[in-house]
Amino acid sequence: MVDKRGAQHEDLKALVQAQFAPAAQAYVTSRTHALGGDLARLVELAALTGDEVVLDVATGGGHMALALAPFVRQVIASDLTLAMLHAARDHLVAQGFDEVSYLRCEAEHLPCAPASLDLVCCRVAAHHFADVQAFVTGAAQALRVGGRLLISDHIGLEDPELDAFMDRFERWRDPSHVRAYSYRAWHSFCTTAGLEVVHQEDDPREPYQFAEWTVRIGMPVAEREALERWLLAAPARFREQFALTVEDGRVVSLRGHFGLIVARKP
Amino acid sequence: MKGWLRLLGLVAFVGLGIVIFRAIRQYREDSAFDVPQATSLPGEGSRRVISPELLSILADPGDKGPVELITDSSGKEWLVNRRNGFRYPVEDGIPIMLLEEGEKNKDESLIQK
Repeated sequence: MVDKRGAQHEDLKALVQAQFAPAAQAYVTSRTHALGGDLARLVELAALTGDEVVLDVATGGGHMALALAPFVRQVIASDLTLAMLHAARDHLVAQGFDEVSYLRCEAEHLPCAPASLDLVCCRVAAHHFADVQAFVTGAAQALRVGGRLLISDHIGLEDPELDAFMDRFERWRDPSHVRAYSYRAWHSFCTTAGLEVVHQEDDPREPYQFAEWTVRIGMPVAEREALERWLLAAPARFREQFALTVEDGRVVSLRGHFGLIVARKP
Repeated sequence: MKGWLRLLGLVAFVGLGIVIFRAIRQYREDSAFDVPQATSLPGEGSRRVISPELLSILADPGDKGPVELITDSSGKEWLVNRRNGFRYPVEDGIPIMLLEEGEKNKDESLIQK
């Protein structure tokens, strides 16, 4: 028997796959995902020796896997959505990386043997997970002693009003967006899983270009316009926090809040 | 004498032709059972297999215990949990390690007690 929480989890999995399967190629070519400055920074923070076995969880367009592949022994790119894995594989093979492995799995149920990985990374995806604690706990189990968990994601704000505002526009645009967790929440997830957070920093990403950002996800025109009206009507404090830019009464861009977290298995 | 030599040469030529024809035919028959290449580029149509590195870290997503790669009578690959009979399909070299897939394809005859 599936309990209520389990049913919600299944609904979310279906939603994520329905959301991303048709848009798989768009995520390969998306500037935001392909060119994010966090990629190079994450590789730097991974402190690689060249002998690592790495699992890239929720690889999407495969950009994190591609960034790591030249510097490690083995990269395994995983995703819940099969179409994403095919798109990522085509992309990486076209770039000359045909030694990367691919794996379809849920982040909350990683199919990895205990102490089999040196690095688990997850870039701009954990906000889709139904149970982040389960993901972090599974990652911790799969890591060898000294192994690292690298997270790049939306980060929740400590100010509850600002956090609620950000949560509203992110979930309005993307119903599979579950939650952006604060640094404090990430510390809690890691500590509970037996990991220690050794580093965190804000990730000053490029602002969202409103038109591209809403079209890429397949948002209906009426919803895009409703979201735009809502953003335009926001109090100044919110508009400033999220760097809302407006031209001729139309939203041009706005900025989310992102960060990087590194945790280590002691 | 000259005629006999010509006839002998002709017979030898035809014999050689028959030998070459049979060798080519045998090679083609043997090649039909060749194992496909391990990896391929997209669109080449040959079969992809799981890399040994990936196999070495894979476990059941539920109990995290080892899984075994088997090939069924139709040539399809599966990753099997011998403790509960869950079978996870491998599609185009990609293991589908979802619990619901393992349960859906469960085969109790594979359980080792």
